[in-house]
Amino acid sequence: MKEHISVVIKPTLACDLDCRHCYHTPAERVPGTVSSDKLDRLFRMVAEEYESAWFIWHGGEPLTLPLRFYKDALALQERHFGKGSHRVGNTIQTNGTAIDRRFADFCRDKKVNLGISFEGPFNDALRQETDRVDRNLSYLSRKEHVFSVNPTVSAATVSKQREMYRHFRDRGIDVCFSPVLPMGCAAEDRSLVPDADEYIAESIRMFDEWLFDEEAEIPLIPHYLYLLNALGERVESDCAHSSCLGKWLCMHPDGSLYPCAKRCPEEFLMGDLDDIGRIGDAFASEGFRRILAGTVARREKCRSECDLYEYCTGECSINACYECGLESNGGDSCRIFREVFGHILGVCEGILRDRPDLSVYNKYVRDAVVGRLVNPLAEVTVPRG
Amino acid sequence: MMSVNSPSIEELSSLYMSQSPVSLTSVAMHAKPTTDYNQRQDTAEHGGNEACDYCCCDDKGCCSSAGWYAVLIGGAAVTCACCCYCTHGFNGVWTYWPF
Repeated sequence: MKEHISVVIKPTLACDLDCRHCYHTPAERVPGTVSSDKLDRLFRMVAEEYESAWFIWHGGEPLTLPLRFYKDALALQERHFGKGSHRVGNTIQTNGTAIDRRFADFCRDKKVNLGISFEGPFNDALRQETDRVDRNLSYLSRKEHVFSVNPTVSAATVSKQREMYRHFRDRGIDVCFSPVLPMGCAAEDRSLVPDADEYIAESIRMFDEWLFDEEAEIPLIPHYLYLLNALGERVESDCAHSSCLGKWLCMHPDGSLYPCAKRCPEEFLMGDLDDIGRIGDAFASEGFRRILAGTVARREKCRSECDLYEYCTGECSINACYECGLESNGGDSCRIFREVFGHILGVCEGILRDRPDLSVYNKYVRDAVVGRLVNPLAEVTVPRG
Repeated sequence: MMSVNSPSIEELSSLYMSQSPVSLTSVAMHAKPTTDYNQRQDTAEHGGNEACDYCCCDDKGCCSSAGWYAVLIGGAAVTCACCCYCTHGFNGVWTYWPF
């Protein structure tokens, strides 16, 4: 059996909002739900081939489907993985408009994690229903639920990252930032994509504020994970900077399979769930071979040219596809990581070298640095030039 | 420059994993000796006897199903009855032996 797989299921592409940067164009966001037969087949194959699996329910908007759908889906999982099994877990990625008390109770009881795509007071720049989502967040509590908010930073909100951080910090809600990527709707409206230099500058300012924020009761993601890596604790910081190929799979409502939940070009189609006998067949497809070959070629270049390669592992293949081609790097995503991570690496190197009073840093940084000093895992490498 | 069309998936996967910094960790984890978590832990308490591998026993030496429990209890009862019959009530210990 293989160790682990993350499976993104898009149970529907329909959505109750019209987010301006959506991976799927309005023409694609039509009603249509994945059948229970397909889910049954998927769960069976995954349970037979993998020791553990994490299912991420994405879309479209997954909560346009009734709660009954998720009760049935989790019952199917129990049938294949066992009741209360630790081999399987679930996350629902939602825009938050349909969260209510019943749904919150269901997530608590079934230990379903939640990711909410929401930008707080700046939500209207990309989405709608800001007040409703803000109200619905009150159904979730840090004690009973595992959830985080995932703000997407657009050109209009690129200078508002610190304000978004403070908004969620004051509410004690974990937050994970990412920029609008030039794919799907944003490929047709490039004015949504933030300027990389502005994003980098504000992202670094936000990190510096969090670094010295004694009131910070939340980890700032992905910066905190970058910090752990910079201190030598190798954690997978985000999917864009890990070796994800072969460990992730995405299924659309019609059963078509792709290597990623982002807007995958058709050339990377890995077949249809109904046409394969096992998950391994999808990873033996021509579509997967194409993305793998291009990625290997790109990483070969990255490895020889970039001193941060061991941290970024060549960036995300889908991002590279839309920014400068699958086999090339140096696009905005690459620059953003290089600059932001490079800054964090420099901060860590300074802390370890100068041994300043740690009480000026937030508790996450203090713990990470103390952990590094008590148990030095690896030498911190400082970027060249 | 690598040709995109020539290598097989297996070759590409192997190249891809060799480019992954965490692959060393992964290889190390795979290289560990396999641990059998079902291995009998109380061998010493049982005089070094190995776990019973008869189909009627489970790996802890208990009956493997309710049916085997019934067979065990029934067998013990029949054995008792036979002994009692042969020894005329356990040589008079059971004074009410009717046969």
